[in-house]
Amino acid sequence: MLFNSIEFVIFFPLVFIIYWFVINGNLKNQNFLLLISSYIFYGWWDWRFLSLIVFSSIIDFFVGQRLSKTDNHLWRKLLLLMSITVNLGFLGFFKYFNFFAESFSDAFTLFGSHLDVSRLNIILPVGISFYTFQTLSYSIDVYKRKVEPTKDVIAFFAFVSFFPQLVAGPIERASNLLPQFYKKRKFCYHESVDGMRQVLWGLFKKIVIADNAAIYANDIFNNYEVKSGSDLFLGAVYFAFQIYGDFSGYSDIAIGTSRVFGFNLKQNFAFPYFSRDIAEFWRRWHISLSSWFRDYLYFPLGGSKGGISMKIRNTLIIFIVSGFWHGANWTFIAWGFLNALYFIPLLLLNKNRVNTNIVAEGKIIPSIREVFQISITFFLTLIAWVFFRSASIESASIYLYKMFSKSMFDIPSVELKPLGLIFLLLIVEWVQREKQHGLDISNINFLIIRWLIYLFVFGLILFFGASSQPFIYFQF
Amino acid sequence: MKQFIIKGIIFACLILSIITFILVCYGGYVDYFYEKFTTPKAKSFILGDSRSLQGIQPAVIDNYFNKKFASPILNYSFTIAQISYGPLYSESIKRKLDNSGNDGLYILIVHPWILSTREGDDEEKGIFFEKNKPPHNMKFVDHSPNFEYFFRNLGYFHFRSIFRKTSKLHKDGWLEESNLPKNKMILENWTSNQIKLYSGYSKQWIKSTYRLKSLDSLINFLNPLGTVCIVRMPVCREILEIEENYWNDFDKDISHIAEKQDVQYFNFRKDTCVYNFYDGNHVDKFSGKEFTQALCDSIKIINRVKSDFNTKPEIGSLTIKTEP
Repeated sequence: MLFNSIEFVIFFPLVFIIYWFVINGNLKNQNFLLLISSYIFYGWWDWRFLSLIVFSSIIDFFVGQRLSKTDNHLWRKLLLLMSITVNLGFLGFFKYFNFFAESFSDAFTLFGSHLDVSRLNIILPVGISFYTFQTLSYSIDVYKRKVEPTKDVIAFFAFVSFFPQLVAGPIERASNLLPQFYKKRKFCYHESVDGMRQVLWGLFKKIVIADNAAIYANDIFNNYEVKSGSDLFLGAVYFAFQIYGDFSGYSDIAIGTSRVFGFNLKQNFAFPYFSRDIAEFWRRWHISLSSWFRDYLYFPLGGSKGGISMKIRNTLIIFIVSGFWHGANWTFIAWGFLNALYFIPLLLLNKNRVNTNIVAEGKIIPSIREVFQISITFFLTLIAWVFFRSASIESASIYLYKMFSKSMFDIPSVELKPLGLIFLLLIVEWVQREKQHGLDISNINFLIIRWLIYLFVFGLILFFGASSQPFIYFQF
Repeated sequence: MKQFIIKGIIFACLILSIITFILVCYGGYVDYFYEKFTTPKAKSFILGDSRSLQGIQPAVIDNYFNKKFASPILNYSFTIAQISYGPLYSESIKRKLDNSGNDGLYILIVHPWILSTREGDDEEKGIFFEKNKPPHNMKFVDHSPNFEYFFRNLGYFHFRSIFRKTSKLHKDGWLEESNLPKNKMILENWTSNQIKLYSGYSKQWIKSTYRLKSLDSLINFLNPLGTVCIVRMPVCREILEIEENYWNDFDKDISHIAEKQDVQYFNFRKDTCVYNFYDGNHVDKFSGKEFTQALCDSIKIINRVKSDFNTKPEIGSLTIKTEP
């Protein structure tokens, strides 16, 4: 089920009414309702793949239970290995089988021999990369004794499949989300109202920004051979906002929806395009994934401790793995690698934690230096997005080669109208950058003004929204 | 909680009122098909895809025949992305049909693409590309405002057209397209896009005997309810060439159905130079009027022959020649 579908418009209030009116006060029933609703939400797309979530949940629940009962080091390791193998095994099979088969075959071709590896017609289960990482984090945290294993099977299954963030994140940690399933939840008016505002803002980002930018970005990337440098530059800009609007919009809707049900999910995007360097960008973009890799991969590898070569190795690993997490294609790996190249100099110069505050905090406009830093950072991400969006490394290289040609200074021939909408987004997000989301207007005391703002945003969605497109991150 | 619910309901009502206002006052501008589902059931129909959606004007027909056939005639054509002759389109037509008389006029547009099997279709197993698209996903086809259409086909709406008003779906189902090419270059560009599109179809699609049979059954169903005629509309020479290469004996196949069902086949395919196309595939609204007039002339001739001699005219294909 898509958030921007009519099914969800019916589903959401229905679950809300049962949750708060029919079974309010009964925690177990509320959790059970969330579990059933989550399975319906997911099964709406393809009920067959529910079995994967259920199986994954069973394994990790079992692993958690066994881990709590043993101190035997070897046995504990084996249990953890079982969880990792099952979860990454599913992910590997459904997401990466064809990629590895093809790459293997290509490698043989390079050495002059031919290996006929057959492709499997595999459907990628929606959201598999998200819930796999979420449930995996539980097993690892229990293994490390950071989280107490749960005995409440319903709460655990509901934690794994919690519908607002099931298919595209944020990837929640057991330490944050799971305890919320044990606590009695009370309806909070202010949280719910602000949650609904966040949902509205998420819909704006998805339907108005992302879906409009997608139309032109798709056209430009699909016909890059015949486009001028300026068109290609705009194509990269449109894609940058398509992916931002799409993914952060989804996160806003997920977080907002959760708040209405009394849950607090962690912020996933913190206005990343206002970052002053790449390190800051990665602290603000897809925070739940970056921190997952930091905690479960980067730190176990040694993090930034050790010598220069160790630092470089670990940084390369997490960025490349992060790229590969996005999809089974060399373009994602190149995207990750490029980001690592941007990041490593900051790390080596010990400047990766220079910009930890909010840009131009307490000021209306940024300084010239900050504008310059933001522009450079955005430009670097733009180049990386070209790899992310292109069908192959070769086409990305040609795209960039053509983009950085003399024709970059030509008058663009593509539609410029989406720039107006993007500009509006940037203005709003700049003003709101110290808050949790773009439509956090709880400080406005006048009800009429607040309602006029809601209607204005709704009007933008209605009149400037493009035809609904599936969320990009569903495929990851 | 109460406050939240009350405010939520007020906000939802406000939104619903805005949407209702737009649907009622601007329904023809904000969606290419919405108005087709807001009018009463009809006794006379124009059926087909975007060629007839834009190229055949019901008002001209009603005016020409002056109630000789049941009027008003409804243009119940859609686009090639949504329809093909088959059980789903037939069912939708039956839902919109008022079958209380036998004086209806049914104009069925045919060309190779509207009778083809597409990738993923498995007609014998009931798998059709058009399944979840309008008009096939509609149960209520004569409600105004039609919220079923709104909720099921939200993605088809383009609300910002209220400001541009470049195309309008009239209540009689005719889509008036006013966004015509401003110069020759744009015309060539649009035409070349259509040629590319159809040349792509010719490689991906295959002619369908199943769809032909469906057309045959639809005619069989409509025949007792009035006058049925099959029409092949003109297109530019390049697209016609693609069609001829794709389905060489198309006219023969259609003539065969026409003969079998005792209906007339008006074939305008050779009129490539007679009408103006704004993209090679669709006649523009001015030529559309002329074409509809020419079609009426042809129907009238046949009808006169029928009534004057109280005998059947020679059945089968009739190629209409119109002077440029």
